[in-house]
Amino acid sequence: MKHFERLPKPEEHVEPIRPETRERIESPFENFKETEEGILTDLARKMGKHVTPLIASLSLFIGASSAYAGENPSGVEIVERAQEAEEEVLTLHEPESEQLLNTISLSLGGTIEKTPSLPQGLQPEYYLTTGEKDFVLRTNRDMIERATNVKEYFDNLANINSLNDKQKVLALRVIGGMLYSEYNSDMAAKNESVSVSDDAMFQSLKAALNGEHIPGGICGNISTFVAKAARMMGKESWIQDTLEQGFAHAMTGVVVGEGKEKEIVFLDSLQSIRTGTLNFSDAIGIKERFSGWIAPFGTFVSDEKHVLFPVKSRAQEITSAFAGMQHTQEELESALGAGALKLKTNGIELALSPDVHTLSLNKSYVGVEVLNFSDTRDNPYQSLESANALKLSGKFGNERASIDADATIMRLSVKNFENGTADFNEVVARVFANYLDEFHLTKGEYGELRARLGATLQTAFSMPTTDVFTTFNNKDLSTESAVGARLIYIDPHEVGQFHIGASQLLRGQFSDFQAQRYIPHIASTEFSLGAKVKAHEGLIMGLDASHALHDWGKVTEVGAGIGTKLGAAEAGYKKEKSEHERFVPSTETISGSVSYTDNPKFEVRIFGFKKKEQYKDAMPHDEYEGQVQFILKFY
Amino acid sequence: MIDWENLSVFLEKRLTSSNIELVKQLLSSLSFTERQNLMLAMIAFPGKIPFFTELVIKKQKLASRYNERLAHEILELEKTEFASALTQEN
Repeated sequence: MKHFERLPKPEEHVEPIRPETRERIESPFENFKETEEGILTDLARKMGKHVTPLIASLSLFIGASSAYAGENPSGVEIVERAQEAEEEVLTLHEPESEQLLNTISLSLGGTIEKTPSLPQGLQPEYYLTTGEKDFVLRTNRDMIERATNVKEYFDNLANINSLNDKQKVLALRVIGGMLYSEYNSDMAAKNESVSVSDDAMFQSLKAALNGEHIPGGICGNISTFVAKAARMMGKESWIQDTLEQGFAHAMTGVVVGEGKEKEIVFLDSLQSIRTGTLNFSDAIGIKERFSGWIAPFGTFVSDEKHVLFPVKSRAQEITSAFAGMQHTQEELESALGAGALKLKTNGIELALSPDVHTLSLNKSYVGVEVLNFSDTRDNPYQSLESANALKLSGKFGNERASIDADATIMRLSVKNFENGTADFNEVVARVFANYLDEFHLTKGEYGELRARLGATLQTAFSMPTTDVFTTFNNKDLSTESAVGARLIYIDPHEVGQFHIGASQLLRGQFSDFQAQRYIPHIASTEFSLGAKVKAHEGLIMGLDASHALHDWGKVTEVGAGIGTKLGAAEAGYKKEKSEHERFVPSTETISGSVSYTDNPKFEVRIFGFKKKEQYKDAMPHDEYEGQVQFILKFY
Repeated sequence: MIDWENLSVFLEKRLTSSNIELVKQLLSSLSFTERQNLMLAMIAFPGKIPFFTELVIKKQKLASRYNERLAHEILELEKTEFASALTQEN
């Protein structure tokens, strides 16, 4: 047990005061003490016998501080030296509160990857001869007429051998078109979303063939039925949500073709949208160019029963970043590691890459950010020609609980297929709430045990500016929350720190695209452990590992680093094993970073990674990124 | 008796390690009774610990290199704290 009474004697620590210094300073400081005593005497007179414990404590603080300072004027040098030493010798404890800095930061970076190209002569639809089209229509009619219920119809589709892949796509388009002719307008008008049985949808389809009207369902029901029909025909299929002119919409996705011609095709009513790629993110990019619209937060994929998870196109990566969308669970893990919430920032940040330019101005609790993107690579799968955004943000709270709120206005120019663009404005409102607490569980000769608990919540919605004052129907909504805990052990000599923790991510999403109930969904569970060891004064070594179970696959990550008074170096390896490689790629990423600091005024950081990603049936894709950041600090 | 370990829990939450060291040295320079009283005051009003260390640092600066502006600043700081305490008590 460390008892105060065993502390070294003061003379061992306090430097002797030089006689000449004492002589020089004694008189004015003594005068000051007299003035101060006068204040205390006045106060005591006013208080009479009603001196409260707080007043008594304040008097004690004032008296003790004056007495000590008077006896130890050079102590200020000791404090300054201690502060300098603290900056030089890295501490295992994260700072309890951040010191407010003024910083000027310049980042230069860029990404290197092979820009994909569209297959030559790619058209939204497959070319079929008139004879082929007639054959498909006859076959389709025959399939429906020969069945009295949906089971017989699906059996007919399962035994269809006479149609090739391209002809099947036309058959599915016709089925979709027929079902849209029986669109359930009442359901849409009432904004009701209910599951419609396959048999009811089939009867609706049969009615369309016979020129009758039996309302079936709306987009979610129709796209689900078309996806089932595609599966019966032997095609891999799913349901995909999207925004069309700001309205939520669902459509069907299928994989068509063989070998090098294999590609993702989206089906929407009578339309088909060939994408020429098996890279799902790129495929959505083509869909966005086709519709001239981008859902800023990403879009969801679904099987026939459940909505699975969100995916993002290249454009959606930009729009969600511009909107300030954060990875809720990563932010939580970061806060659990730091032990304090980052609240205030002061400074100017300029980040430049060939495609993205960002300028941020932050003053204490408020910030302004200007962001610009332009597709300098002329990537056909990047649906954004350009994007400009202005973001205003504010922070409220303290080290334990905080709320970030921001509003972003974006001007998006979406490429069409005629070398033109469709332009629209989108406004995004976002709230990010953070809670973090730390408990000192035990402390003794065996070391110290602390626990940290944290929670984050992010909710955001976006809508076209034209609709801000007219309707709230056209909004895109994103809600995520994460909860987590971390147990931290610090050894008795404070040279080693070990932690183990777990966190869980909950995401708000639709149950399925038919009933469309908004439900909380467990999106990810992460386990982490790590250690930091002070090898000697001025050198810390760290090792971290985590394993996360996401709704789309598993992610394993390890990282190692060293920190010295001159900077830090880190290396990391991340492996994402996707169980849905059609939609989310498996990846391997190797990253490294080095920083050099001439504390407290200057710091330079260099960061880079190499990422290899693999979508199902697609060619592997490599990506390299590098960034250098210069930071000037003013205290 | 209050020992250092009792107090350090409060200090660690509120002060940097260099300021904790400062408090430790200040306490070391006191007699047992004075030290116990001061530690009790800090534990009773942990929210005032940063105020206390701020005072010590400012006064050390003042004692080593006197200037009127800093002296005035310290006195104003003390008056503000007292005014706030009186308001709370009333």
